[in-house]
Amino acid sequence: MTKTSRLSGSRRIGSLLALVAVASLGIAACGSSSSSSSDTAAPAVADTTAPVADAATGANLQAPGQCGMGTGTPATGEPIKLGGLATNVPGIDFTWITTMTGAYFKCVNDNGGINGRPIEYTAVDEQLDPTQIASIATKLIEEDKVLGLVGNTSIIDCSVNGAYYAEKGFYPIIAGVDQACFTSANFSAVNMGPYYSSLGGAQAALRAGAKGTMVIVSPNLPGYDLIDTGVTDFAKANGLKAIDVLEDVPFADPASLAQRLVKQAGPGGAVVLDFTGPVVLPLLQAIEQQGLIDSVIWASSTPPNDPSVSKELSAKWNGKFLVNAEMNVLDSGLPDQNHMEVIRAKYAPDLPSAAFTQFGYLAGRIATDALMSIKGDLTQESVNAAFKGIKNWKTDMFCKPWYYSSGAAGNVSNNSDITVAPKDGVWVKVEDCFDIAALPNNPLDAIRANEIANGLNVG
Amino acid sequence: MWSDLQPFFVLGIALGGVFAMSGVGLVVLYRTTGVLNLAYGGVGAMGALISWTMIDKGISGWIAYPGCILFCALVSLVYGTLFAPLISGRDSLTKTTATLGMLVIAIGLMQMIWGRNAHSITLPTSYWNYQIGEVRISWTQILGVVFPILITYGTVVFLKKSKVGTAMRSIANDREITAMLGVPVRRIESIAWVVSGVLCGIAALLLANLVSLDIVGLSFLVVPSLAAALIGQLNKIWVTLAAGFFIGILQSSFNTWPSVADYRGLTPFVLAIGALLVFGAGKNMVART
Repeated sequence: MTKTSRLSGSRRIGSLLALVAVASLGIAACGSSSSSSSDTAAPAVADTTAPVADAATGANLQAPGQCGMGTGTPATGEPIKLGGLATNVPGIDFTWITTMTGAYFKCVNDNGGINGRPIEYTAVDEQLDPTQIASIATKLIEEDKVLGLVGNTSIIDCSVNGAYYAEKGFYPIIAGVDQACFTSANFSAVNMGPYYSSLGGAQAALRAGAKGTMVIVSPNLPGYDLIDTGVTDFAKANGLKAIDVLEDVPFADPASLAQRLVKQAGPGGAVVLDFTGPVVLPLLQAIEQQGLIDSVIWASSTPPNDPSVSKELSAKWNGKFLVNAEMNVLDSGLPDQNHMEVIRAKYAPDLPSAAFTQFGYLAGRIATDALMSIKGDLTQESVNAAFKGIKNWKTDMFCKPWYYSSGAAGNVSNNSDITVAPKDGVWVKVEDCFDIAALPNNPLDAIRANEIANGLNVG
Repeated sequence: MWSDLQPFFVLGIALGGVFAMSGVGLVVLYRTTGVLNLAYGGVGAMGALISWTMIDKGISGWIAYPGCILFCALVSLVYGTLFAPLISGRDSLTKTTATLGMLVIAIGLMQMIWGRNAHSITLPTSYWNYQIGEVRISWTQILGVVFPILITYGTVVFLKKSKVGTAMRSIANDREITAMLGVPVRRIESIAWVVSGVLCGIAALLLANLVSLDIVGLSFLVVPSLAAALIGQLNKIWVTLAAGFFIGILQSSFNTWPSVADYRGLTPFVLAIGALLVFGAGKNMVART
């Protein structure tokens, strides 16, 4: 007869607890994944109109379905290797950017590549492990021998790998997050990053009448305490009290968090949120359920500028959530936005039309134009020199033309943008292009002076 | 002091209620099968996302929401009848580890199918609200308090009075002897899996509305439920219920003090560890080999 054995309760249950903790960490830190795109998909829709693409002059209109050379014929030559990496952890998924960059390169490959050579793009996910991300960069540059890095969007890449990229002469075209991305001459971002985007949200909140206290809330992840200093410095400079809140994501108790933020901001105050769309949506819905929409002024950095978020918000939010949009509105109907939609639908249909998708599209397109401008061999030196030399690159997605190098302490080429707000399930523009505030602790004054002096983004 | 604490206390009760209900589901399953189902939250999250998809496609919530509960019950039944028996002779730790596999599969599938966009569920009961001080309470939150109490009472009565409940208690005591007495052990265990799955589906819908329909967030809301179950020593259902409420109230109440609020996520872990230390190695916890 088999006896039911009595457990040594605490040991067994302790083991189970440890198992749960390790499992939680393990699932959150699954090994890096990579994807590459050099496959020749079905040929793009033929269009005989030659693209008007000149990185030097910045006139970049392209017909729908065309990319790069615009030949309509798949490229079959020796691949041009490019790399990218993106943070992908619970609550933070930046792979939208690298996926859209890869989609753009697929379109380029279907349209003759770069002088007949397809782009082979390897995008790797990283999980906020400095050792891992350093090894990813080393592998891409030294083993895979990529010629350039495009679409990097990582919370720690710039801090961890900045010196390495400088040593190797790499000038990545990125979507920046970490403040180190904007304080180094070795990176240039198509976006302005959470520091400047939150600051833009704070500016919108101030213009909307915020007084008393301004609260900035962001993920409890490396670097965000520094990122939040833009809002706290701005608040203090405008006579408001500033509170910085770092929250674990996803939120464990959105209703309680909503109540706390309103109490901290106080009557007439403002709360600036800095979270991705899927993370912030439960908080917005809890704010509505608790009847707190009109208690304070709600603002945000860019990421919630995502149709899947606006679709889930009721009409009570109309005009009441001021989101800083680093790109033009997604339904602008303008040529580049339409071009992005065609490419997204064909090569990355699972991606939503969102701000992050715009980042990836622009990173891919800028890099492609730079590659097409190179006369001579494509090497790590020539490719990165081409990236670094970009200026006056125009698109209807930006307020001003884009350039790589400001010549100042760091590059913030996208430093003017708009404010959007939800209206009946979509995002609409509520404020047109405005300059992000120059503060003593950011280099925008020096950058703008250099823009004028060197003609970097003349209209 | 109370005026500062009150809104968080009230909000914490509803959240704690759902933790409590999930904890009861975990305990019922553990007592009968010896399996601590770590995939509880993951299966629930998938059920909630299926409901979201159905509603997004225009299907009525009256079909979509029961669909979540049915999905969770079915998945639990399939696992309980096809996979769990293969390792039924192994120790509890092995059987529990196997559910991690189910969790990883669930999270992977959810990321593939629903990963990129924002999703939300607003139950019809959330549209009726009552103001209590500074806090607005919806019928969903009221259900989050009432349901767990009713379900716990029903579960206790079921286990004590019904033939199936008696068989479950017998299996928990000694599976081999119970089988030798002619009790259809596998069928009883399957019933336990289904009951647990139903509770999982209900809890998932409530949590998806009260917290978030986030893949990883919802999947790992099993942790506070697990803490409640551990405080109940995986055996005492009323204690599990009380512990669930306590965890929810305490975690939410920490929002009162911003300096402490940053650490409120530790609440279930600290309480579970505390329970282990208090109940200690000298206590007997019924397990299965």
